[in-house]
Amino acid sequence: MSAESAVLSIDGLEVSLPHREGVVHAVRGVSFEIGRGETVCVVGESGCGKSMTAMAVLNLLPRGARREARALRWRDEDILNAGERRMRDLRGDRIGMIFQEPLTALNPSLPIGEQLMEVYRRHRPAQKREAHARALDMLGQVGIPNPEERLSQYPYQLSGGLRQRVVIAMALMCEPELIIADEPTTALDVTIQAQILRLLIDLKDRFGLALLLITHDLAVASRIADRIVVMYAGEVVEEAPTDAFFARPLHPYARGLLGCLPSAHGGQNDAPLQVIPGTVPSLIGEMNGCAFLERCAFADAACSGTIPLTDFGGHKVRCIKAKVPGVAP
Amino acid sequence: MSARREVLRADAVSKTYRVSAGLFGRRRAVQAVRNVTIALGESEILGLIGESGCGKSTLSRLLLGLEHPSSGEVFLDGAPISRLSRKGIARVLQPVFQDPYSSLNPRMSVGNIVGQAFAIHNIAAGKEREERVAALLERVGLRAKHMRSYPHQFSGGQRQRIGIARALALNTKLIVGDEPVSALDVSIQAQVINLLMDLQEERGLSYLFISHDLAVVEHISHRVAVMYLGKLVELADKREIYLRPQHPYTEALLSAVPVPDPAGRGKKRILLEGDVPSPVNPPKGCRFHTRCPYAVARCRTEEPEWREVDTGHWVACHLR
Amino acid sequence: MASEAETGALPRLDATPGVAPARRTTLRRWLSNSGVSIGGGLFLVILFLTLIGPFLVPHSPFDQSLVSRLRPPVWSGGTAEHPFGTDYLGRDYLARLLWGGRISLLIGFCTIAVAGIFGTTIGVLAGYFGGTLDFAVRFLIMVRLALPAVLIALAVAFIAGPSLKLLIIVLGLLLWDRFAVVARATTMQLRTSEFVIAARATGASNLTILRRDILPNIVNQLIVIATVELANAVLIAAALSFLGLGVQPPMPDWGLMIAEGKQYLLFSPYLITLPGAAMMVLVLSVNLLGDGIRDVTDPEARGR
Repeated sequence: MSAESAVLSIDGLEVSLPHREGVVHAVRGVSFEIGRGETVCVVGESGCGKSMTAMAVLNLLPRGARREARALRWRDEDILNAGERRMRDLRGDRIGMIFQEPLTALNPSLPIGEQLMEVYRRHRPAQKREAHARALDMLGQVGIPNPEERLSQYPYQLSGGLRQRVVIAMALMCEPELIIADEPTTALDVTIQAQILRLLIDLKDRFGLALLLITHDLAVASRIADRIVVMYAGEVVEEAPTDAFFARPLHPYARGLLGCLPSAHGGQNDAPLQVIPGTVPSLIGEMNGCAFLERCAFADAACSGTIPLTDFGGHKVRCIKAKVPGVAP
Repeated sequence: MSARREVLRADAVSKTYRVSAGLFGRRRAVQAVRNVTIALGESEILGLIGESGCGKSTLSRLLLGLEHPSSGEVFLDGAPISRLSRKGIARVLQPVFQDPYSSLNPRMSVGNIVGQAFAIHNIAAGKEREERVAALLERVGLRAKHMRSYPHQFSGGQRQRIGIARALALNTKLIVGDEPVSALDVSIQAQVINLLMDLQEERGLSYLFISHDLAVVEHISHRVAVMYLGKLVELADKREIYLRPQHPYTEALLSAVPVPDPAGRGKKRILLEGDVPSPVNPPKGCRFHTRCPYAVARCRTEEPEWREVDTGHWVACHLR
Repeated sequence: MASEAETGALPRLDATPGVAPARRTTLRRWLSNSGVSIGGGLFLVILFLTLIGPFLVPHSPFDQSLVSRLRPPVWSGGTAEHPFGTDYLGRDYLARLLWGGRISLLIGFCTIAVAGIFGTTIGVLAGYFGGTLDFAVRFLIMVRLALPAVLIALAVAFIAGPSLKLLIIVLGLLLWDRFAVVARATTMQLRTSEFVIAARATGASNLTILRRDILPNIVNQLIVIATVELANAVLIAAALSFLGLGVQPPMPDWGLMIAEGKQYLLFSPYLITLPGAAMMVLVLSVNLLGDGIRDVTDPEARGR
């Protein structure tokens, strides 16, 4: 897609954190884009750098972290070098954020209504009455019954599912164009998770939102994503439209990941689950070659050089062994 | 489940907790588990699924003998668990926990954690004990030299293996796992699940496998039980439950689980309205009626019976 | 080692619990903390001086010499014979300072031993067993907190006559509350940890659990409390001695030395400033050490 229609554009993002034993390269050269109204899911296991990537976009990294990139753009604007004031203006207004734990994302000592209105009034010159009306409207949009009552309630009076809806409402208060959601359903029960996913899908259609969803759950990604970005050890190892990805995952790690999921619903599986041997490599210090080398069944000497991202007509993969029959890179 | 001998049985157990709301609040009773009868057969893996507040953790504590039921009785190999000593129970039944970070004493070496049981039961000492611990560690995929290390030096998956090694120390045949793989990454989860299944086959172990992850439960279990708000709502062979669920809650649960296949996107899903009710104030009649798409008048007033609707397939629902 | 592939301490922002921190040299970690190195270092110096010092100083703290009364210290025009000067009875002040330090530290350590053992025991028992035992201990703590420690110590010393042993016992029985509170709170948290439940499930007796699972995991916090209470004990003892109800002359004690020196404040301020400074350095070092220990052990206790 062309840069003009991209809502968020990340190019060569690198994040490093200081550590007792050296420097941890949590994010190593990540690049992807999110178009208007598009849903991109960044998928990976713990330690792969997916949350760090999201935090880096909003510049919410922990103290001591260093962020570098070739480019980081919000629409046409450079946010890599934008100051903290500009970022604060963007956060909550143009870019909404949803975190994993609804309990800690809300201030336990303020009523919900106040927290919602606070977000709105921070970014808009609005009177209390207008903010109140908007908060009421948003609660309704996220499917909370009896919103008038809820406005004066405290977070502890709501269940996990309702709280997450409130957090979503908060993210939507200023009609953002992009929502970044970090594992928004992981802490929820299965039936509630289904509801929240349905809600997110509805909302993004209704408001034309772009969505950057970070998750470790490929199943959730398959439900909601337009495009999937798989991360491993701080790098993007595969990127493809959802259907293409699940039809033919190219990177050995991605295939391994799909293979080791116990399949549900009457599967004939009594066989042991496929397993990816070994564990994630250390991200401390310099790293050369393919990060998946030691765990890969197809690796050979050539894999210890730099591995570029190969593009097979929209399906990108960071593996020199990957081939798509009939398609040239 | 006629063929198998029962090794663990809960007979109409209930557990009520008294919760007070502050200094002047009324004392309220929370019935975490209500009238549950469930049995685990020899060399069987029984999966127990349910969402938060369903009582599965409480049930697991009752079955482990860590708490006494308010009514009903738990039988371990035919003997009432309340009459057995802690040590006696330990020799037969062991837990595996969810959180790899808090299930191991951070101040004890791995060797001591796994071998503590030997010391307590005076089974082996010195060199022999070391050898046994080494063997256990190797069996779960670690190395004998890890005996001298401490928990914080290991990853989540490795710690979970240590917990499994500990559970096997006394050669127990019965393991109660409360979400044993839920805190692990998917790829590590697969390794540990395979380990558990291998061990089960090798040693003829019986597992009560409690989890909220339906896919994992389906993969590993022989039979599956579903709990909702402290009661059992369905129990059947794994295939039966996943192909022909009888209880509306089971149906909804299965429908809600996302599958890693984009073809499932357009699928019509049964979405339950509202939230999981709190066990403090359970609905009258059938506890599920407030969210049930098929509820009729009877469901609001009368609690459904636990009935066998097909061989080995039990449901608690008026409409089946 | 545990891994060919440990991923070092990765930032905790990712969803599921990450990989454990890699191995690090424990000693270096401890020493790199400024509280531990500075506070601990100072404390060791004080310890060394008070233990060995008296043997290195040529004078005895008890030898009076009416001829050499009130000699100024070496920086105010005194001689090297009495580097810290002499007091109103001609006793070498350096020697008295070092001896006094010994007494202070003796009182401090014995007090926290008494207070620590008593407070920890009842705190752990209350936290572990709960029920009526917990209720009784909480009541006891409340009673203790309602009592003014120093006044009671004064009263006891006044009634029973001052004695070092009595002083230690009384202080010990008055300073145990923080041990009990912290021990109880931490024990209550630990009691529900899964590894404690696992130990129960293995058939361990309560005593074994208390010994192997509870105590080792609360020790760090108790050490921090011990450092604070040590400083506290030293200060209260000094105050009591100042009022004449603690250590009795001719025994040197910093509080007592301040009392004895107060009439000479205008002309020989060193009589007061030296013991005062010594106390300050001791209390400061001990507090720094406690802070440092807490900083070093706290993240480790979290495990991630």
